[in-house]
Amino acid sequence: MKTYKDYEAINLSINGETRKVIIKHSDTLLRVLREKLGLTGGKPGCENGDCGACTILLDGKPVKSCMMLAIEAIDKNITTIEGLSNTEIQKAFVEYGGFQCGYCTSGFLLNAYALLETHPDADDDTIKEWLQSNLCRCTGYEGISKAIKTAQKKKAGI
Amino acid sequence: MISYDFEYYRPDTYEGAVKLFHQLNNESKNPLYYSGGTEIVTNARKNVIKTGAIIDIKAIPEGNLLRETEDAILLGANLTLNEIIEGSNFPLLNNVIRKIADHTVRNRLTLGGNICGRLAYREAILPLLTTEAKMVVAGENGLKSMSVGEIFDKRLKLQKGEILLQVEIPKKDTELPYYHERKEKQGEIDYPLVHVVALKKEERIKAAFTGICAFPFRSPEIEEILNDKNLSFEERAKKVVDKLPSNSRDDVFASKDFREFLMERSIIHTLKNLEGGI
Repeated sequence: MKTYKDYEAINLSINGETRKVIIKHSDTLLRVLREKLGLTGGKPGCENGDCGACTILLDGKPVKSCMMLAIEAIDKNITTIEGLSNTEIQKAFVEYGGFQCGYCTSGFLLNAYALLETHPDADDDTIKEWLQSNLCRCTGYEGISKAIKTAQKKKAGI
Repeated sequence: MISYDFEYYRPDTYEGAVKLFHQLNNESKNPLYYSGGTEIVTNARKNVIKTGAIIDIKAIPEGNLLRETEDAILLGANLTLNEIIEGSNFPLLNNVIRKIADHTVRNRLTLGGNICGRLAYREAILPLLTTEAKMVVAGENGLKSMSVGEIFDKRLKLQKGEILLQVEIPKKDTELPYYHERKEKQGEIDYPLVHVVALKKEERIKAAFTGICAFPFRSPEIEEILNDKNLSFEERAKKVVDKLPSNSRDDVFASKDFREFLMERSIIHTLKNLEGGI
């Protein structure tokens, strides 16, 4: 049994690096990433699991980092937006204006990246199902949708 | 940010988890079992729940099983809803839980968490209520297996310190004709105003409901009405609404009248789908 009773120095594997950080057990992963590790790409939006602005990848799956404790991420591989670089989905977001104010963008990008890695042949229903997890208050969904479909085609070599 | 501190434990056996729960409870730490954490983290942040100790049960192997035998499908209560959707062979359950929260949240939200949580809807229990599922519960005296009808009445009747460990669904029930209909206020990602889930077994409809009342339920009296072929679909739907086990919900999401209207429509659609006719 693992027991944690006080402030804890833990190692987290983030974007391929091991990062040491002191946490308390009630710290959410979002707060630790932003406030203790300087990884501010994940955004605090609703902090209620509704908006998806805090989305990160945990072992390749999108999760909302406001809804989990940092201590649960020990021994997992975390990917934040800072860990994505020069991917097709990022290029497509720029090309098709997949953002307006940009607050939701990192969450959308990570979710879309995971979607295309998991389901390269995703149909419209699958894309809709995955992307319903993120909200864009600027309502820039058209650009986001075009960007995802373009990145999907480029990855498939079409 | 959660504004208070708590201890965090991660036992790797159910015996250890149950023992620890009672020990922490005796120390007045108000322990909570924790699996996906979606509800506990958000409610702790809002100070709706206070706890001195979290017992994370995700490392208990029995809670993570997804296995199919000749006769049954065995689902660990710690499986996330997406793990079940991707790996289980019970289409009604998969279709019902696909409507809970959103895809990203379903990567954390667990079967046990949905059934045992504080939110009134507990939609994952609905398909189980229509079957002869068994619930495997770990407690101070070891494991016990109870039929879902025996242990679920508005909520799962767990004793203090007990853990829902597994659900076992007879395979024959997972292959039956089914229908479910869920109505929301606006978008699909929302709580249900009404959710009707039904299976047809040996020419009888078995149905469970949530959203309409403040708790999920299955009612023998309502099933008698649903299966009364002397009545038209419309007459049955009206009679069902008259026999609800409590007042219909009447809140900011929907009025009582609107919910009852949706309930009637959903019942008529259910009967059309499972009994046929126009």
